[in-house]
Amino acid sequence: MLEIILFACFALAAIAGAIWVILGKNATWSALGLLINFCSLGALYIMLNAPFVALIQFIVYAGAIVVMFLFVIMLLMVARGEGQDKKPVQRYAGIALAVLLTAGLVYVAVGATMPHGALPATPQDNVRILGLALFSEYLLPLWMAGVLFLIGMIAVVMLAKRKREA
Amino acid sequence: MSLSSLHYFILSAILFTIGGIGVLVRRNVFVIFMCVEMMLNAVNLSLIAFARYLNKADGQLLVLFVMAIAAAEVVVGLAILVALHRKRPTTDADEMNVLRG
Repeated sequence: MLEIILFACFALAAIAGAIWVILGKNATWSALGLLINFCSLGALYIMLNAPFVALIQFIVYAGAIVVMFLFVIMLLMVARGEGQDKKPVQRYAGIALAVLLTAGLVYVAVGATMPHGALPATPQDNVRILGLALFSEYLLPLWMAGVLFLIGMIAVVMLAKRKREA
Repeated sequence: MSLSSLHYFILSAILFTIGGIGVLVRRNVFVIFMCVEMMLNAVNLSLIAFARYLNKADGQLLVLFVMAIAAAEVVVGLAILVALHRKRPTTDADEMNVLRG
């Protein structure tokens, strides 16, 4: 019972944060809604017996990514920059398509045979299991992620560099 | 009634849809970018739920890789927005309609 109450609280917080993001007139407020969304998802990860992923969620998403968004928004001073919509029909068509998508996703999820009640690994084993898999079975993707970060760093330096005045 | 994987999948679908609505409706590039991140997070939630209810760690590992790639993506995307802002000081996605630098 407690589990259901906690799930309801965090799910509502996540949805409220998400709606806050898309309704916010000001990009800074949207970033704060994003923070609420990420934190409640992290809490749900803890409920799903994934404490390590929850920790990474708090550090990488709620910490680094939101701060980076806020940093760039404030650096460029562009909190309010959205003109009038030229074609309002796009807005209603977009919402209608998205609602259709949810209906389809929920229909598929309800119709599928889902696994129920398998006993999860105990939380204190979580990091050990993840580490063993990461450094044996998933070693190549791990290296590729490292190479990706290197390429990303070089790309950012190249993009941010001002061209020298001729 | 107890909590099952279905609840998490429905929550994930709802969050994915809200992110999709944001991408389709909003025209501020920063908000569009945030909504893309929300959609990634919605999928992460369903992956974690799969990992929990199938009792395998692979879903959690996939989420870790998604997070790594999302971090790199945000860094490069924001750098592109900063570079674009120097050329053309606007945040309206509809105003950014040339490929020429």
